[in-house]
Amino acid sequence: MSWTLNGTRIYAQDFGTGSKSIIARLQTIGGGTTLHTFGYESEIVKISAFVVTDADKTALEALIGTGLSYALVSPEGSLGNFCVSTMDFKRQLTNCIVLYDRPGLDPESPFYLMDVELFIDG
Amino acid sequence: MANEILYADITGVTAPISVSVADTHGQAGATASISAESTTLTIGDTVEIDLGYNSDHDVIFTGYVKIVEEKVPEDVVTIVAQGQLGRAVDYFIASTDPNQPFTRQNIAAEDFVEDLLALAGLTNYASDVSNFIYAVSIPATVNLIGAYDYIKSLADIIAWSVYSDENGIIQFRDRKPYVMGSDTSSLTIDNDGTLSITRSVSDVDLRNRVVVYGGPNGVYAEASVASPYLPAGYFKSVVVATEVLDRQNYAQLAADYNLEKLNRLTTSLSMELVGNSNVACRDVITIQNTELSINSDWYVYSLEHNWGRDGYRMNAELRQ
Repeated sequence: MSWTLNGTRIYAQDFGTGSKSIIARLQTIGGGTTLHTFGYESEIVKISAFVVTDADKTALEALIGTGLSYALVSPEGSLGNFCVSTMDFKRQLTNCIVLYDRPGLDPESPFYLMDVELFIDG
Repeated sequence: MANEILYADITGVTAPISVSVADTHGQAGATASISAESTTLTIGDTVEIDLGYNSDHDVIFTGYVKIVEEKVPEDVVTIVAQGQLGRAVDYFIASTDPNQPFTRQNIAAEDFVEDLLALAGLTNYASDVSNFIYAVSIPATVNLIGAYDYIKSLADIIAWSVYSDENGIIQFRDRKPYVMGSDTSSLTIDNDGTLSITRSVSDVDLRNRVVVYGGPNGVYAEASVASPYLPAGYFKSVVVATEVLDRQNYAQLAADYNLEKLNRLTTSLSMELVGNSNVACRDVITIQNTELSINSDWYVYSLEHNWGRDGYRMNAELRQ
């Protein structure tokens, strides 16, 4: 298996996760700080990945703002379904692209670095 | 450093996001606003709010649903609820036959209120004994007026309070908006429970002359006293006009009761506090603050519980 988001091939370069508690800090005039734990935020996934061709970029951009969640798959298997929070693309300068799993790829295809933040659904 | 896990259990509500419950002396009772992921509540349902911390929580509101809002794209529902006495606020007394309106004669204040509440279907009721009789010889006619408006006027005449409490019981009590001699403190809040505090004194509510105009047989009464906070011979007056007082002795009592209630400065504390579900509006609590040299009992004149991701906080106005 390869890295895909909703079935679109991505070439992950960097993968990270994070979670956090929601804790309010109340400063009393007695000097002590009171902590109130409200709950926690579920896992957030951040991925930097290469995306090749405008068609793949367009397919990924279509995941923004739908209110739906999409399968994220890694070489080790499914990581679950995620909503897309943010997605940024930067076009990279390239002279020739040759990818072993895309033998029919035009060597002059656009080549992007994508930073995406995903919220786990459920 | 205290560390508490917030707790909330609300009838028919899943995953509450924020809760606000506000109540003030002189109001019919609390109003509540709840934001949540989802709810099974519909208009008219009874809702009970039990919140605080995992280690210490209590029921702070019992009422019924007035408004349900659903908001997208946030996928958040907002429920607005009102205390039980809201039923009397919404109940308009209008007799079917205008020649046979609701009437009562020679009736104790607490019984008169009880009968009016029953019109609005409210029977979960508790009261003090007033020893005060309305409409001794001339029947009081009640028609074309809101039930709560009339009940509130009966309470104001004898300087009492009517409200629905956090458990949904309607209370008719000799409850003044300050600490009374018979009060005992229910708990103590010191600097460790205080986020901010402001003390103020004003004469805005001071009245040192009360005039009562009674029923059709020419009953009237007056009570006044010189105030050390006003110029000599200067009186700030308030008038109580009602047809349900038809005896001189009761008119004079009404004047005396209201003068005692109103002839005073308003000494108040405006405080932001760490949330505590054991505090309710109309409680008497002890405040200890070293900076303002305060160590005394205060009446909870108004109270707002705010619970959510910013923690559990309360805004309170306390009076003495």
